[in-house]
Amino acid sequence: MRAWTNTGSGFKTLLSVSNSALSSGKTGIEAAGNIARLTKFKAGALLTPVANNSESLAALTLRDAFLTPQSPLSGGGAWGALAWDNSPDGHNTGQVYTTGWGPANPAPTVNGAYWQKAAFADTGAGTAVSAIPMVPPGATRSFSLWLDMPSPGSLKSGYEARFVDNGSGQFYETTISKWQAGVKTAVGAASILAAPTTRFAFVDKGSSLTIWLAQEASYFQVASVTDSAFNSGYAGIEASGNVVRLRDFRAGPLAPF
Amino acid sequence: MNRISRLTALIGMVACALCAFAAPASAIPPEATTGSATEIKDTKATLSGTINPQGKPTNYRFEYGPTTSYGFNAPVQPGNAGEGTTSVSVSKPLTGLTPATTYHYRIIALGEGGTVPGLDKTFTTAATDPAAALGGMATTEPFDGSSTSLANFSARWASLGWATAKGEDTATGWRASAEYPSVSGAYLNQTLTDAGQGLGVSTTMAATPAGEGRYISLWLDMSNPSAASRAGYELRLAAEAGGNYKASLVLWAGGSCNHARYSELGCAGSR
Repeated sequence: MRAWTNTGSGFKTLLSVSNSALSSGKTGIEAAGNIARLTKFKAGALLTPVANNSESLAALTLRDAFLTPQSPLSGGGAWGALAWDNSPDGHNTGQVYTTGWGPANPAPTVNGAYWQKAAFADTGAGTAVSAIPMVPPGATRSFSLWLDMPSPGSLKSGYEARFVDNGSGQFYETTISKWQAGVKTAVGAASILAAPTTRFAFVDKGSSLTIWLAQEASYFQVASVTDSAFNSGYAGIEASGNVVRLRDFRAGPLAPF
Repeated sequence: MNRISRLTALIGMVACALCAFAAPASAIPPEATTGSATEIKDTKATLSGTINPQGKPTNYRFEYGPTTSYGFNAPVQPGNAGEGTTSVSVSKPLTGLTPATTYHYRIIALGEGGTVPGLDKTFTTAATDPAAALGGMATTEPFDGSSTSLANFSARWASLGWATAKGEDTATGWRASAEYPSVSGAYLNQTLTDAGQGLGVSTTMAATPAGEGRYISLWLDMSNPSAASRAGYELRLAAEAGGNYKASLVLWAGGSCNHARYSELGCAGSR
């Protein structure tokens, strides 16, 4: 724990103490006496500022590369099953094949998982989730990226970016949906073209929900909608059809710029 | 000793003879040499190495991770090292790394003659500079009395359980609702979890809590801030006689102050 002060020449340490009792919770302000005024409240993960959107998305923390075969996906307890994963044979969370993560069960069964080690909050710079479809889902099959799920182990709530393959493996009918206790509201749709092994990223920043694609380090935005029902929660993946293979799952708060 | 040496030499010759039959000259395995890690920052680094394709089409990738089991690849799709007969230098930037963490890494050559790993090496990412991170944080709530700020304060903030009021968002900043000794306080209804990078909270003190006994506080890691008892980490800046301020870092649990550290601070208008 360290307290800092900045009187105009950068932050300097004011107090320092070792204590690790707490690592999660809510932030706030308090005052006795109504003379003091507080402005520009800032809270969130301590991330090194970057230059632009691409650098911010590139810096997103890599949580699981999906390199080590595992059935079902667990990651040492890092992953939990989505409540609406309807695997009939216990393969909730899907599985990691030698080629990446994918559902264990064929369509129309849905397999999906969320990274349960931490929830992420948009406190100004945004949160994001991204992955690379190494193998496309196949015609009419899909994969989804999820953000801001409050309780994904019990309730279908949060934002979903669903990518439905038209069969070419490059054109995706994309829908951004808001789910509230199992009730779906589509908030936007777009048709996007993505070359093989393109990274897909789904971002919540303020009231904007955006989709970004990248081949290397340079991201470009392909869809944008507005909604502000959720601003924190868990990130995850979902797919229908056991052909798709995802690699390189990244999720977390975005670095500011 | 001589007998052992001769025996070793004999085995070696036999082995080479078998090799010549089993593996044609065209299938010489590629060579892979793990190079250095450079441009190491808190969340990124660049790995380098050399590959000798030995005349056959050869790809490469870097494996990296917190142990020698690695777990991550870069690039995700193997890169092309060509099919030459001399060593070529390759490099790959890594992003999304965890600060202050030691990573193992090695280069892998993927050629017709086999898959050949280079030697394992390590590098350690830098710790995030908290001063730079604090300085660059995005504003969560402006507290400027604007319609956006007022709407956010209404929708996303709630009163601290031990405070008598939530406070007010005004054009000059957030303030307590009533005069001293009444306590006002509000919390942002978002749970923040330290997922490896650390957490921070800051505010600009546009007007100081003038008057002995008055204070302002920043709170972190409150598990249940709507409860009547304080719990979490508090940084309190309290006004003292003579215009100075006392800063204290406190761990609260169940309304009890478990740990405290104090320092005098004589700067007004600080953040």
